[in-house]
Amino acid sequence: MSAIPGRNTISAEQLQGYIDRIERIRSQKKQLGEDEKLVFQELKSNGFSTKRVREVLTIRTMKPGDLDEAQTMLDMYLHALGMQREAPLFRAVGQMGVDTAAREQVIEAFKQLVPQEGEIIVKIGSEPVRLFRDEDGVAHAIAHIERPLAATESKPSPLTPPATSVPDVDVAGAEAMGRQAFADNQPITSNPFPWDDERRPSFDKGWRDASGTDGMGPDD
Amino acid sequence: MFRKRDRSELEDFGDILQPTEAQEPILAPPVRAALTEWLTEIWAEKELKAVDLTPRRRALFTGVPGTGKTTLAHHFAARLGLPMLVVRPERFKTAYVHDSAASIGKLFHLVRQEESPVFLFMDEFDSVASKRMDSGKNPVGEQDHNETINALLKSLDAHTGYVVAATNFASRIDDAVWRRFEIQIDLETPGHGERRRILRRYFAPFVLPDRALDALSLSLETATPALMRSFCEHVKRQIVVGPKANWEMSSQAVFARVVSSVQPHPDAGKPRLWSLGINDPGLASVPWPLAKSLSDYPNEEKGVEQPDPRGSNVTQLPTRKREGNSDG
Repeated sequence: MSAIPGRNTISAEQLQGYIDRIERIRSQKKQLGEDEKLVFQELKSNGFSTKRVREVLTIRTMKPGDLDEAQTMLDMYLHALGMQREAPLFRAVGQMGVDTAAREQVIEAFKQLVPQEGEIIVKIGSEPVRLFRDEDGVAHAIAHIERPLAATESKPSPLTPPATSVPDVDVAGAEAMGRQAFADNQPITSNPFPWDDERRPSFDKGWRDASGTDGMGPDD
Repeated sequence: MFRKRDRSELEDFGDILQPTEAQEPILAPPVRAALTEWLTEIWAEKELKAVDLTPRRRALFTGVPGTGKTTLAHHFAARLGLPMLVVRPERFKTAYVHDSAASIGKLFHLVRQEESPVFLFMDEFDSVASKRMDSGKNPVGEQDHNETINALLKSLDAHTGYVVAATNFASRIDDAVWRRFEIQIDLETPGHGERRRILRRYFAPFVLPDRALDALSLSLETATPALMRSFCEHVKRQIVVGPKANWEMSSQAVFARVVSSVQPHPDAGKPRLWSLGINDPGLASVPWPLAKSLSDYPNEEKGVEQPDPRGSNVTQLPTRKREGNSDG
């Protein structure tokens, strides 16, 4: 049995199906296009600018990176022709307070200014950034941590106790001071004489005599 | 390795405690006598030199955890007026063979470099100075440990400053190291009088009448100072936090919560309070709520007879008065 060519073959039916679907979609497209026109008419009648709305719609379809690039390029061209009032960098600097992405733009711009031998430390926004070039001449930006200067000199060693004034008394005076310290409810370790001072034991003795103890609390 | 420049290299080995931060230790009379003797000896250095003697410089404190070894050493250093370096064993025990011995040498070297002497306090001494070994099961490790001990012995011999070591396990200390320490003090758990003073210190600003202190001290027999401190602090914490959290604030409820959440170490003695719980007669004599002045306890008038909290078969301990004896 062989296939008979003619109108009612299976492939003709399939083709008819495709044609029908495409025709349906086209009519729908026409319908949707008219709907869109109606929306535009409506917003125009409400006072919106159709031109700007179309622009907004285009921008919304773009990737953020592409948009940035397009805008920067447009700014640059306009600036080159003297048609822009301020350079893109200056505008980015001006926007930094409200736009965090602007900070990145400023850093990118500064990267181009980094000298081959040397670096730029710049405070962009609140955190300082260090910009430098590596061996291959590629510019990098890293956060710059400001270290306090010369901490060694300013801070005394914890082993040398702060220089408290040593009272100018003799041995008996130190003993009297110890007694007074007990009377004033000061601990026995409030001894003001340094470890190698012969008056230190006297102060200790005075405190002990006044308290009637060995300095480690009352005898129970 | 990044090292902060503004601190002494010695601080890599532990914390430095200043004399002004020292607390008064609460100790039994024999220990106090030993310490007073040592202190007097140190201050009599000149007189001792005249008869060709030097004051002793090294002491070993032993005792179960929480008996106040660090507090005592700190107080002693403060009496001498020296800063105390609390050497932490993990700071110089290293993973590398020979490094531990080297860092012991470095520690003593750094101490010698300081202008004024440093009071060395070596805590958890058994982890550094445990007995030398020769079992042959771990030759490298054992050899390294023996080398560390030898370095320690040499350093101790050469060192002229004060060294106090503390350990919970006296029996583990190497014989030769032990011999290098001229004074050995065993800190036992506090006695009745010390417990009263510890309770008074850690219940402050709340005060307890003498009767309650006596009874509580009896309930807390064999407790370490650390345990008593956490007991007292827990009670105070309950007094502050309880009303905010709407807990039941009766004396029974508070002590039940405290006793169940503060526990003595299984190896240390178990005080009666933890055996009997809230049925402990000592708790019954604690006035409630606690007040900050003795005059706020109306029932504590001297004439009022109180039932003996310890039951009839326990004899009343005399409450000894502070005596004005002098020593020194």
